[in-house]
Amino acid sequence: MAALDQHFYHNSIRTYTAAFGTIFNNIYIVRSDGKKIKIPLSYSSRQKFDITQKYEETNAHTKVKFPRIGFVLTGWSRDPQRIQNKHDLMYQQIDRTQVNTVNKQLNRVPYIFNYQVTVGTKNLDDMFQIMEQIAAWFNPSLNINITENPDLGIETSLNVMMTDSNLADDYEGQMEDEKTLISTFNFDVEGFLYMPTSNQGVIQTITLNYYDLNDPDTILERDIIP
Amino acid sequence: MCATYMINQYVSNYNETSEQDLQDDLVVEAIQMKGVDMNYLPRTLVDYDYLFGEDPSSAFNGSYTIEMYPANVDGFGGGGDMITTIGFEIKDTATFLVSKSRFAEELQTQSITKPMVGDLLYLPITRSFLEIKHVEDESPFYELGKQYIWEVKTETFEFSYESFETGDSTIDDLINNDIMYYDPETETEEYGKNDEIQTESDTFVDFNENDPFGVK
Repeated sequence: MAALDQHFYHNSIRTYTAAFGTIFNNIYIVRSDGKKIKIPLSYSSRQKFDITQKYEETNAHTKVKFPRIGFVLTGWSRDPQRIQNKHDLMYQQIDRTQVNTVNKQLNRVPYIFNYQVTVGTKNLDDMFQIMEQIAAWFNPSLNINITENPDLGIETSLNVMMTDSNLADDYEGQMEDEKTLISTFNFDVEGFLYMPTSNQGVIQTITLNYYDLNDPDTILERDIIP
Repeated sequence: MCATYMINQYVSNYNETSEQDLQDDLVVEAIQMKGVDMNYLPRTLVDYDYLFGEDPSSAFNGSYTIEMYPANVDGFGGGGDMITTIGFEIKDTATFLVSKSRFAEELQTQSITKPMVGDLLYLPITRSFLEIKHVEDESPFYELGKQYIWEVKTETFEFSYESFETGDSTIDDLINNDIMYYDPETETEEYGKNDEIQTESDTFVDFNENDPFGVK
């Protein structure tokens, strides 16, 4: 029998990625002429067909539209700081009076997911507006409450911590060289990976028998709790 | 004391204005024969930032047709089409030659005497907006003692919500239909997936910035 022979998938990483993206979803810059611009956000690692098809449609050719924010999952690692007894069980968050069985899983595995956010702008003032709106919230971290793991419906407070950030203002070189203005923010998202789901019956009725200690064979009273 | 001449004083290679004028005419004719009509879009500074040396609110309020000779006869140079962490970029470069005398003639009404870094060129063939990165004024080097062309080095334009009201309907329509076809205050360009991310997250994210337990 193979050790890992059961398919399971709890959508955890997609959930964390979308939740993480939500943080940067509504950032604006405001220009001195009053123009307000919502910063486009996208997951960076897209299929090439998805990227190029859209740009074939446009007739006008420019280099790129700035500002933009991209984010991407760059790695993950088990988090020994938050590890708990792996034999503990987690149960479905549900009203047990309404069901006969509940889902259960062995304890979740704490994982840190590393995300990188890249901000590209043409102007320094745009960059600083975006930077201030992002960095001020991470002092040093931000918590987002999410409902995850559909089998259990668990509510998790997702801790998002900014680990470092930097600015690449590449302005030196020959006049015709490209000038780029990119800032990068790295984050750790303290999430979990979940074990396979199984079922457990819900106790529907409890029968309490009261015995005489001097006569253990005699039931003095019986309560049945539905 | 007489001036000392080391070169042959009986041949004038560098100071003969009639020869220079002929050369200039030939350059103009060659560019008009083999060049392309381009639109020169001068940049207007609206709110110049002295500290960072930029103007995010720049405007392009005019369009002037001038013939130029594309020095890159085998296509654009540069990095080409690139995929980066922030999307798709067209990193094309091109060099164009424009007659100094013709340029001054066409743009004298605007008091523009030479192509300026930061101004744009529009190349109708490819519908490309190109930003002038450098203007070389010593190449080729003093033929017959004079410079006849500007060598204009360009790169595809990085659009960042500058204002375009050039008065040229072709260019303005292109900007309005292909680049600024949305309201940037409420919508995003094609790169942005803001709405989709928000819609998906709304089903499982509960974030309230006023919740004291929401910020650790």
